[in-house]
Amino acid sequence: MKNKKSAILIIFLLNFSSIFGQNVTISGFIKDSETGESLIGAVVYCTSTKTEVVTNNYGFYSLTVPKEDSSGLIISYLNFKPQLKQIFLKENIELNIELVDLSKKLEEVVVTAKQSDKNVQRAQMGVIEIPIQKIKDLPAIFGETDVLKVIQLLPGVQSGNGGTTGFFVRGGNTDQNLVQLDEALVYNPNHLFGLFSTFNTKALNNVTLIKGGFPAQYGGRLSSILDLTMKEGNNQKFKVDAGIGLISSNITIEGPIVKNKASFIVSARRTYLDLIIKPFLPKDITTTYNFYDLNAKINWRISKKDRLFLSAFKGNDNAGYKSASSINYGIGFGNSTATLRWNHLFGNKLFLNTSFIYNTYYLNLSTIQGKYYAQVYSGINDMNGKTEFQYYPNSRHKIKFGANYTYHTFLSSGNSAKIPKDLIIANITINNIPPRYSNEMALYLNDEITISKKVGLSVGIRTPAFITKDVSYYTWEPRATLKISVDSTSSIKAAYTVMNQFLHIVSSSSASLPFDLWIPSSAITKPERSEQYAIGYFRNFKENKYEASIEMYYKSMQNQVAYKEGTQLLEQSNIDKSLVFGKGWSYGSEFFLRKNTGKLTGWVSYTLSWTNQQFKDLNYGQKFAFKYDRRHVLSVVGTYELSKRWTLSADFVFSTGSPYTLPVGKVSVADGGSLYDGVYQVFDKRNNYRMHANHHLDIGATYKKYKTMGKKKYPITTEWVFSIYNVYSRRNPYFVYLTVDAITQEPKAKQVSLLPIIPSVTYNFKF
Amino acid sequence: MRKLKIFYSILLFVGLVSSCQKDIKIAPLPYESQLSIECILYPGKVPQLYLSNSVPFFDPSSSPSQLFVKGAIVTITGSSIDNLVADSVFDNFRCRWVPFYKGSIPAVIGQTYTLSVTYQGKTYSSSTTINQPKATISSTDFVHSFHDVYGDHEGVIMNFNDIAGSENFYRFQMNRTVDSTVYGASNLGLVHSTCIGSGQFSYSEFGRSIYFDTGLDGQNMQFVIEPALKHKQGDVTYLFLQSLDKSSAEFYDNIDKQKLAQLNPFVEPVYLKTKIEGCIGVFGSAVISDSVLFIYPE
Repeated sequence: MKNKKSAILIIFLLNFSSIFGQNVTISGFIKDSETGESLIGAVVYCTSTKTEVVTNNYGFYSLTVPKEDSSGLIISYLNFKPQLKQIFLKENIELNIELVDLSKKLEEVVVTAKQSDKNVQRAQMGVIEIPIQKIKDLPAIFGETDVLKVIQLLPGVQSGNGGTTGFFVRGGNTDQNLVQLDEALVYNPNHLFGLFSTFNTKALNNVTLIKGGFPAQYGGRLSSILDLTMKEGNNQKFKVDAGIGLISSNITIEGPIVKNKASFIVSARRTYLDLIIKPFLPKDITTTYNFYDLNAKINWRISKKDRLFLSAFKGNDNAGYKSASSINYGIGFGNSTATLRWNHLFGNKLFLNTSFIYNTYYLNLSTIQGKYYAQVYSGINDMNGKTEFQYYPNSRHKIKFGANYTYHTFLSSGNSAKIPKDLIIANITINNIPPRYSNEMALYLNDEITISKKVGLSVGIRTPAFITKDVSYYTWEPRATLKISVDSTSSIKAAYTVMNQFLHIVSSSSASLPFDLWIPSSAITKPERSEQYAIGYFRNFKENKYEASIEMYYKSMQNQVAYKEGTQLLEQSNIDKSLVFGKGWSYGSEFFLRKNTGKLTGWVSYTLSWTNQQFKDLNYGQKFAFKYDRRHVLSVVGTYELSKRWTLSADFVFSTGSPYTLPVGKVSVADGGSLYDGVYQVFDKRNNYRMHANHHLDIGATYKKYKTMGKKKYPITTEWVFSIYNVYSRRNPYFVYLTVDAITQEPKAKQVSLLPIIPSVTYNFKF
Repeated sequence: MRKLKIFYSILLFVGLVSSCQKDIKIAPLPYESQLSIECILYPGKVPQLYLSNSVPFFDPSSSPSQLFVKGAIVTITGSSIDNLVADSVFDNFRCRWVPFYKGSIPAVIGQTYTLSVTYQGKTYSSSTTINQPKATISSTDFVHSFHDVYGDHEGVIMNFNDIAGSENFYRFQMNRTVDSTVYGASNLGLVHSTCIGSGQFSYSEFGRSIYFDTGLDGQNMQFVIEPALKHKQGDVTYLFLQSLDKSSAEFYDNIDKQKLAQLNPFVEPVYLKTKIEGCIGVFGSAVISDSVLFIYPE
């Protein structure tokens, strides 16, 4: 009976367009001509109807237009040579298109067709796509190109302190970012201390950040979606892309398994910083620091309508520091994911993607500071199944609907105390941590509707549920984004979104190391919930060469979590009972100006924002500034193609200092203070001070050379990438702590900084 | 390889000189000094009230005499009015004078007292009733090593029965005679006395931890306490158990947790919460048990 109903539904959907008129559908895949990689977000524009469609995460598009004699079709994608096709619109057409990547051509190519204006014309807000090439061109710490470092340069996004890669979107904490790689959740997208992200840019195809106006297919986090898609692998010929850097080397191998049918990509990166610095360290210091990440993917085109993808990722960090000084630590953490996906086309309008995903994350951290030690273990294991239909009934509707189910297993524990007299600190026994199981699921439906030439609407509904053995939460999330075109180059957009989050990070407010425990919602810890309102003006100039936007937002966040005052984690602690709950709210304006084409490309972004929190049981119940509340954040990013071989790049970042807490007074307590000095601290409010402003200038230069190798004259591309991070060696604050002067016994403050000037050079070669 | 080594050496040098830590000057926020009042009434004893000003955190003054507030009008009213006057005692351990206000009428059980402190035109008041039941120590012992949230300790064990039917709050007290060879057991390394030579003085020490009888009403309770001062085998001491009123218990528990958070960087910070409106502090009472002789066995 169920199958019969499904069949009727599918038949109805397939015939939907013919019921309402005489239309034809143009559909197919858009790929890179050289590698066969799917081009995600490419635009197909029909000149006769002036309608357009954007390719999905698999490069598929479907555009239904009225029957006509003929029409022009413009297919464009940033940094690729646009194509103009003349087509006859008599019957349905399957049209697969291959575009030529201009960035790989040494000769100068003049692009005559205008760039896409989807940023203005689509009913979506707060969405920024970042070209992978742009990530590779920008200067990087130790020459490690980094997607998260580029994300931090976008409006509405703030970095962690001292140049770290943690990112905070519109006043949300790091756990409020949904980071997914090939649909698999990555709980910690950073390598150690957040200096590098866990994503190897050479293995990535596409990066999209959504910070508001979330479509209904996304959920589970309050503040942002970072959607990363791995490359599929060159299905034409074998390619090797390798790089040797100061602290790490990487290699990517890709190629066809069966030409045009199946391909693979394997990419690996490993650091050797610990080996390099070892000879230079004092004898009383022992340090280890290494990380690796490994990406692999196979895709297989089973038939014209079916395609399978199997992708896997593993990233791991290990670090330790032992010295005679007061701070020692050992840390290990890692993410692993495996994704199996099946794409199926029902006709030319209905696209199905079904995925089975397994992902794990763990953090194992122990540290000694002075006479105290602390340990945390946080582990998550997810089994996830989801299916999504993308239906393009006509040029006015783009419908997505689907279901998502995840079975979570959490292991979280912490422990802190004074170091025992025998100096033996027992590790947290993972087997003794009681696992917590939960089920998270959601149904959703989203339709991107073109109401008229001027008005577009994306409207959706998501119904998430979260079930544990003790409690169940059912809720719903309306989503809507409205676009009204002012003229052909500008539009006004407004969005309203509700999001729920059932998983929470609980962080120490005092420790400088990442004491982050993931816990699920429970009867005590309610789901976090946000409502976000946004309005914006979008305008392109000079045939979309420049794009500009101003967005304003207001976001409220309920059931925010923090530790109670005085919490000292013990292995037997019930973490939920150590928490207090409050609310947060953030509002601000974001300005963005980007130049997409030409010798000079780049952007300027500026964010003016306020983020506050209020907890009944913290800060005397008064509101206080969020830990990453920064009034001003300015980023200027530029890349200049000096010649055929040389590309120069630079970025400058300025942000107001983060707030932190210091006592404002001290008071003597005689009767209860006999054990110590009897002097106690008086706090007026949480986060009452601000660190110094954070700013740095980074510059880079890339020298490219094309040559041939061997008797058969294999083409080889070599690249020298020079970069200087923090050119003027600004000591940006990472954290501030209090100490007592050994002589005067007076309190004094110390600032710790992480990243001084860091010159680097990397050699890349591809063949 | 040699060039690479030179390069890394330069890199490391640049990193070391321009990163890491530095002292920073904190521009102090405007801070209005607050009055701090602390007074615990003990039956049979005359009131002793500590009155001081809080000072900006980075202010160098921190000794009791520097912070003491002179010229306040302090009264404690029970069945009659007790006007407290300024007095002081020499702290032989820290070698400094500790000023306070002292009354003349001993407190009595069952009486309600109202404190009034008038200073610079403002009056601060609070009340307490001494109605806590007196606890009885049933036995004592010594343990060479025990572990709690503060770390590893040797300790004095105190066994007693919680008084049933009421919410009770306890803290430890030890009276003993010490000399200059005694020094602090705490990890802050309190210095041994430098001002009394070989002389001896009596020392009364209160426990920092407050023990709540939550969920243990009427049951056997056991504390293990590490006193602040070191001891030698055969040292003679007298142990007491103080039964605090709720207000005092919460205040001292709060400052205990703040101190723990100051010492242990992995404990969430704790803000002082006052029990007297308009200032910092507490006005409360404690009933002290009968003493039990305890001689250190090792």
